[in-house]
Amino acid sequence: MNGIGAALFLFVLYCMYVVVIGPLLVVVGAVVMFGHVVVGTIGGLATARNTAPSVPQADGEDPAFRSYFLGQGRSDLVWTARTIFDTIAEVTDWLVAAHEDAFDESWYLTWPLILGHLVGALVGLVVIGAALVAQAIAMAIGFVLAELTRVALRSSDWVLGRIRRVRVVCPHPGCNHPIAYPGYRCPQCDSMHADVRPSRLGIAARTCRCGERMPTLVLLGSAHGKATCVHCLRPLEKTAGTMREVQVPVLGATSAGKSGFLGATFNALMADTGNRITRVRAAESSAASVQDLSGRAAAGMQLDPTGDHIPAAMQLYIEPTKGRELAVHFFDPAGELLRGDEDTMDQLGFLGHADRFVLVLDPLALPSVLEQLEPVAPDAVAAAAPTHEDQEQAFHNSVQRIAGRAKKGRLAFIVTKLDVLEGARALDGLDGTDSASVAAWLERHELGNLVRAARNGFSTVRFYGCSAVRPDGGAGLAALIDPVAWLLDLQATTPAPALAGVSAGATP
Amino acid sequence: MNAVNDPVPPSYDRWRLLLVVVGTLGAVASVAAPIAWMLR
Repeated sequence: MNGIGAALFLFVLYCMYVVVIGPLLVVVGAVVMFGHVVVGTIGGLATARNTAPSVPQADGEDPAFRSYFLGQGRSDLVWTARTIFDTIAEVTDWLVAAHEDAFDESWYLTWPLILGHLVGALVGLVVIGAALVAQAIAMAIGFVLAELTRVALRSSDWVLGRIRRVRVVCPHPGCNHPIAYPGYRCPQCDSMHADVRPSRLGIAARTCRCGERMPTLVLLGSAHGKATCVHCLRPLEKTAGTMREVQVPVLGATSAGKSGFLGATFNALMADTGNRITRVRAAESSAASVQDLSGRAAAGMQLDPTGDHIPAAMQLYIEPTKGRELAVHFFDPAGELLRGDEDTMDQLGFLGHADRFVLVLDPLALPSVLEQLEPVAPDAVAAAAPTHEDQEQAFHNSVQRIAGRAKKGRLAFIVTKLDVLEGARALDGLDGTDSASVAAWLERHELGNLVRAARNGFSTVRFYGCSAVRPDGGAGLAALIDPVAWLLDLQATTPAPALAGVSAGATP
Repeated sequence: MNAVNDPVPPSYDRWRLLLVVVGTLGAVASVAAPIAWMLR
C-alpha cells in the first residue's frame, strides 16, 4: 500500500512538474536558444561587415572595385550565408554536447529543456533564414536594376556616339589604332583604366583601387579625365570620344609641296571664318607644330624637307557654321616614307584608317611645264624647288597601301605652286577652282593616266589648283579652304559670295 | 591581387547597411506574420 502511495505521490509530483515546471523550461530553453542563434548570427555578421573581403581584381581587369550589386553584393551574400551556417553548426554542436547524456539518465526530467532548445533553435533559424532570404531578394532586385542601368547607359552612349559620328583614332606616330573608347588614367594614382564604360566595375562611376571615383562615360563627364590610348598608352586630347574625328593624310612625292600646302591651309582656315567655318583652333598637343608650320608658310619661308620620321597627327578643331565641331587629324608623311619598305609602311597606320585624302602634285616637275617655264623664269623655278621624284609612281605607291580605304574614300587632288605658273603660258587657262579645268590641264600635260588612276582608285575625286605662297585675298584663301571644306562636308549657311574667280570645284 | 586589405569604397558600407535593414525587416516580418495570422 505504501509502495502504491509513494508511486501515486511521485506520479502526481511528476504531473505537476510536467504541467507547471515543464512549460517554463520549454519557454526558457526556447528563449535562450533563440537568443543564442540570433545574437550569434548578428554578432558574426557584424564582424563580417568589417572583415568581408572585397572581390579581388581579376587578371587583366582594370584596377577598380566591383560595383556592389554586380560583384561585391553576391560575395557579401555568400559571406552572410556562410556566417549563418557557421552559427547553425555551432548551435548544433552545443545542443549535442549539452544533451548527449540526457536520454540515458534523466530524460524524463530534461525533455522540456531539450524541447525548448529545439523550438528556440528552429524559430531562430527561421528568423535568420528569413533575413537571408530578404537580403537575397534585395540583392536580386539591386542586380537587375544595376544591369538595366548599365545597359541603358551604354546604349545611350552608343547611340549618341553614332549620332555625333564619334570615332577615335590614336594620333601618335607608330600607333594610329582605332579606339573603341578612350582609356583613362586615374587622376589620383595614375593607374590605367582601359575600359571605363559601365560594367561590373561601376555603373555611373567606378572607384579606383586607390579610392578615387571616376565617371564611366563621356556622357557622365569622363572626358574631364586623362584620356589615354589603350594601345600605346600615350595621352589623347581631352576631346577624344566626344566628337567626330577625321583623318586626312596628305600624300605626294618628296618636295611636292605637301608641308607648304598644309601650312598655308592652316593659315587660311584660321584667317577665314567665312560662311562655312565659325572657329578653328589647334589642339593643345599639336599647337606647337601647327604654329611652326603655319608661321613658316605665312612668312613665305622655304620649308625644310619633312624628316623621314613617322609623323604625328596635327590636330585642328574645326567648328563649322552648320553642324558640330569636329577634330581633324592632318598627317604629313615624308615622300620618302611613302615609297618605303613594308615595315615602314606598316608604321603609317593612319593610311589604313583614313577615308579622306589629299594628294599634292608639283606642276613644276612636269617636263612640259618646265620646258615652257625654265627659259622665262629660271630663278622662280629654282626657288620653288620642284620635286625630282616620279609623282605618278609616288601616287601608285600610296594608293597601293590604302587600296581598301581608297575605294570608299575621297581624294582632293591638289595642283600646287600655281603662283610660279602665274602669267606663264604653262598656266594654259588652268582655273584652280574648277575641278574639270584642273583635270583637263593635267591630261594636257601627259598625266591622263594619273587622273584616270585617281578616279578609279577613289570613290570621289575633285581636282583643285592653289598656291601656298601669297594666298592673300578671298580667292587665294578660298582656293586653300575649298579642298578641306569639301573633304569634311562643311556646308555654307548662305550661298558663297561671288568672289572673282571662285566657284566650287565640279565633280568630274 | 588579394584585396582583403584594400580600402573599401564608401558605397559598399551604404549598400551593406541597406541590406542589414532589409534583412532585419525580413526577420521581423517572419515573426510578425505568423503572430498576426494567429491573432486574426
